[in-house]
Amino acid sequence: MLNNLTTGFIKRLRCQDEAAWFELWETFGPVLRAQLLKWGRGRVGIETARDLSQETLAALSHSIDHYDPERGARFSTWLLAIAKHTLGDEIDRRMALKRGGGRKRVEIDEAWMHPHDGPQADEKYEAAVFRAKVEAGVKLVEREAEFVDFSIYRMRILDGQSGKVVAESMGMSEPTVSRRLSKVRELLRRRISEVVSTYSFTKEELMEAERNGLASNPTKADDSLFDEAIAEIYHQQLQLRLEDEANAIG
Amino acid sequence: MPFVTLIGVLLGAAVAILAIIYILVPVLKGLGWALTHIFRFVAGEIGDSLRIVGGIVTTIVFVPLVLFSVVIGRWSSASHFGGAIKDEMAVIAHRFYRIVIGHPARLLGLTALTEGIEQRVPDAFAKAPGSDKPSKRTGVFEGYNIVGSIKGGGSGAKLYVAEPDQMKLAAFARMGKTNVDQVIIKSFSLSDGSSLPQIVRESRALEAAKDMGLVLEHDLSATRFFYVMPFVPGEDLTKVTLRLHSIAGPTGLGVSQLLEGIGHIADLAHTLSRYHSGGLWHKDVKPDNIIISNGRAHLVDLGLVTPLRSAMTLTTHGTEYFRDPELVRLALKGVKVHEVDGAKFDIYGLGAVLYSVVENSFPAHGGLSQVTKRCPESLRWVIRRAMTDYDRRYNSMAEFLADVRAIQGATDPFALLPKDLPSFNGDPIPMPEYEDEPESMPHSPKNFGAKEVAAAPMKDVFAGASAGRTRPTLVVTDWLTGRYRVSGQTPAGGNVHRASSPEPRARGGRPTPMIGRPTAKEQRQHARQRVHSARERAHIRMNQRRYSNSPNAGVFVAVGLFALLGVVALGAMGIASYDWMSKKQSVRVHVDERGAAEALAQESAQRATYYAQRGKEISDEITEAVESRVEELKGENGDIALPDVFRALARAATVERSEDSKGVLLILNDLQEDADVETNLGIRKNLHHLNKQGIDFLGLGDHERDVDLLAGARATIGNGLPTDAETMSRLSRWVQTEHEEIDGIIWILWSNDGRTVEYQLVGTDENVLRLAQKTLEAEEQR
Repeated sequence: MLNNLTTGFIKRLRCQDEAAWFELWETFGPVLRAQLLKWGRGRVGIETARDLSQETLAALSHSIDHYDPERGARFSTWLLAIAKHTLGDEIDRRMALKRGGGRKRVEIDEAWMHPHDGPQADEKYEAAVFRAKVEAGVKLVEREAEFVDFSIYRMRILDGQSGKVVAESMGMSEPTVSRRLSKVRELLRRRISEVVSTYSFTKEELMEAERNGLASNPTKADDSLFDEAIAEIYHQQLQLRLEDEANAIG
Repeated sequence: MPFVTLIGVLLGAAVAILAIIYILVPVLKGLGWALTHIFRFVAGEIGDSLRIVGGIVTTIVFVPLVLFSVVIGRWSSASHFGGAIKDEMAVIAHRFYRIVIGHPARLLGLTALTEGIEQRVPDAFAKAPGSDKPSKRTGVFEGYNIVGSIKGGGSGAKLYVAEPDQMKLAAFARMGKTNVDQVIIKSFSLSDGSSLPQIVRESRALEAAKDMGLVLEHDLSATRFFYVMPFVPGEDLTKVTLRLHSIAGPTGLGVSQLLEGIGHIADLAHTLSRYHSGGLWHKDVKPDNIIISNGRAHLVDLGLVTPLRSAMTLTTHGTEYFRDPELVRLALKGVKVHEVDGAKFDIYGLGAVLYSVVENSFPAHGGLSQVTKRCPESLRWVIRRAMTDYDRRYNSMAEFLADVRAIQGATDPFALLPKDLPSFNGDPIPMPEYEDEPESMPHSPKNFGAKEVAAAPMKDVFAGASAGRTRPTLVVTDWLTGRYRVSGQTPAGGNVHRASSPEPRARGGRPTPMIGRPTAKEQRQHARQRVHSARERAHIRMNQRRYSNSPNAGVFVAVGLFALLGVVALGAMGIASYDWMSKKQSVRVHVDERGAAEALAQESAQRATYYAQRGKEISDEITEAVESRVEELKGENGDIALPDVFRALARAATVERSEDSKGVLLILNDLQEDADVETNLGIRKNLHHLNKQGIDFLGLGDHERDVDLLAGARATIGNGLPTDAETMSRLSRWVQTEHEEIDGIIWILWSNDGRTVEYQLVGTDENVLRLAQKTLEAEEQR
């Protein structure tokens, strides 16, 4: 059963709210581009991948009406299926243009099904989608929190500076820094939980945050785990966006 | 003996095996490779030859279509098929290149010599700057000697480098502009493919830009619009940043390079502060638009400059990574420019530029981008504060500049901490001085934006942002002249300048009386003259617009090929008829063909007459509307500036209420794309019946006004549903308070079961809504 946040977002998509579409694009665009580039390696360039990721999210906005919660599909799976379909359409279109060229028609599942070392592609993809949700939560907090508070969190947790250095930079005592950190942390917990709920269709997806050390009702001891998880996700997302940018500028 | 023989046989066998393995196999392999190579060559040659034949056949098929379209006056179709022929010709040329150079080079192992050349050469041609001299169609620029050209950006304009003659130099000197050796002429010509909307967009902030000394001259004729700016030779900031980082090494900028970079940023902040206090917003701050000349940073490209108080809807123009994502979000919501503080988007852009200078990379993660290279903590703070959320950002460019100057002036910039920055401590912000600017620049900034556009009320889009801030109170000291003084706390940013302007303006942007101003009669006469010339120009444009879709190269190729085919066909017919004549056989005329040709000619004539009449009607409507709008503006301001005529033109093209109209309703259709044909037909039929009842509609076209209205309505609805009484009352209020031109809204959407179409009516005019409701119900029963 869908929660209120998800249904609210779906309603916005159904009402063709372009801002909702932009939110999707901002949050999941890089993940989709990375996935499409991986699938279409050697066959699609970055420009095509950008176009296809836009098409995927546009298709998602339009097909939201057909989503059936009873079938129990995850949000990430659904997104992936649409991306796959969009890429399939593109390859079909190209093959139609090249028909008679003597080249073997591409099987979308080839790259996906190919055995390889390391974690399976779908696990990587699921992790990337989850990280994108957390990143969206962090962005929400950046908008909502006091600038000084968020800067302290950023310097201390995301940039890894010591409490003493941060306190000195900001001209405040270490306990004040610590208090402001807790404030941002609490806000982060709430917002991440909301974002994960918005982009989750199944219970299992909802539990992802907890599984990754981002529980919404933690004990005091979980704080450092939470901060570590946030910092790790932030840096992984930085890497993803840097790769995306590097691809974009060739 | 047998043993020796055996040994010999074994040795022979071994040698044979070795020979097979090491000689025959490689030889065969080589042979196979050579054969494959040759086969590939032959197959490639044959394949490409066949493609050329295919291309020629396709071209021949397209030629009659082009000619037929030309004959019946369908210029768009002719142009379309012409384009298809052009594509085919490009493919033929490419395949020809492969046959003659590509495949033979590969056969001879010279692939590296020609690799990618077929892509690089067309790319180089595509990227080449235009002709150094303007074409005949563009015309000459009187008073300027064109000495070169620059590759234009995305606006479709042509950029020429020119040297002004003595007359122009004298004129510039009178404006206080000396040392103008070279200028850039940005030209938009309808004959060169520029469009009216582009021209209107570029001209939007021109008057204000000219007042600020950014533009030296501008001119508008029937077919061309251009403006002249001082030419700043130098290299762009991207190149300068690369140079600084190549000197500094991979760990980041050293003190001297950092100070050089910060100096450029301070120059830009100063320039942008001038823009903002002048009521303008640059909107495209990025390293490629920043030229470093004689150690100073100059901001170029006025293509997107917008008045801060413009009543237009926000657009998403700008450059990724340097454009605030919030701008896109707001633009998609349909927010107007005057409802936001555009200066804050420039602050974001400059923060992103500062990031790129420090990091030698794009801020790919927006406001969350991490500075990984050596950088003072205080500068990191400045970047974050500039690129953070809209509400948390610096309130003005002056605040940003004060922080940058503090770092610039520090003995050791790396020792400066965020707590030492003026903005951190809430220190008073000194306003930037403009003494070093050209004499033409007013020392006390004026609100040029108010002159540009009628002042619009600031809507509190960001309720959170305004909380806690005190707005200044204006106390009118002289009701007769409109003179006032400012009391209370002044907000940061452009408002400070406006509030402290020594030449106060009355509310609504009406200018105070000036000595030497023309009399009302003279102004009326000038206005009439301008309207007259505008009308003439509109007539000319309307006549020309019909031919703006001029035949392209493909059309000429098609006509040429057809002529060739015609000659061949006539030759063949001549020979055949000679044989027939010799046999004294009669020739039949196909009466049907003649009839079809006559019908075609008749249809073309009717079509031409219709379009000529319709063109005249549209032209008349536009000129009338322009005239009335100009009169209206004249009543408001007493003077008409060129951009006002443009705005009048833009407004004139909207739907006006007809004389027998009973009301105007906005159509908000949520089905459009997912409705089937039958449903769409049903909706159209219902609207047709409403129209027959005397109800006019808005929101059906893609005109700017329609788009604005729909965006506004959707923004008002937000996440609301028609069943929600609050949503409907909000929509009704929106109609009542903001859009008097409409009487209500018909909101078309699926019913809850997703099978039937619902028409929700909301608005202010009960009679119109009742009439619409009745008509729709009657149609439903029928």
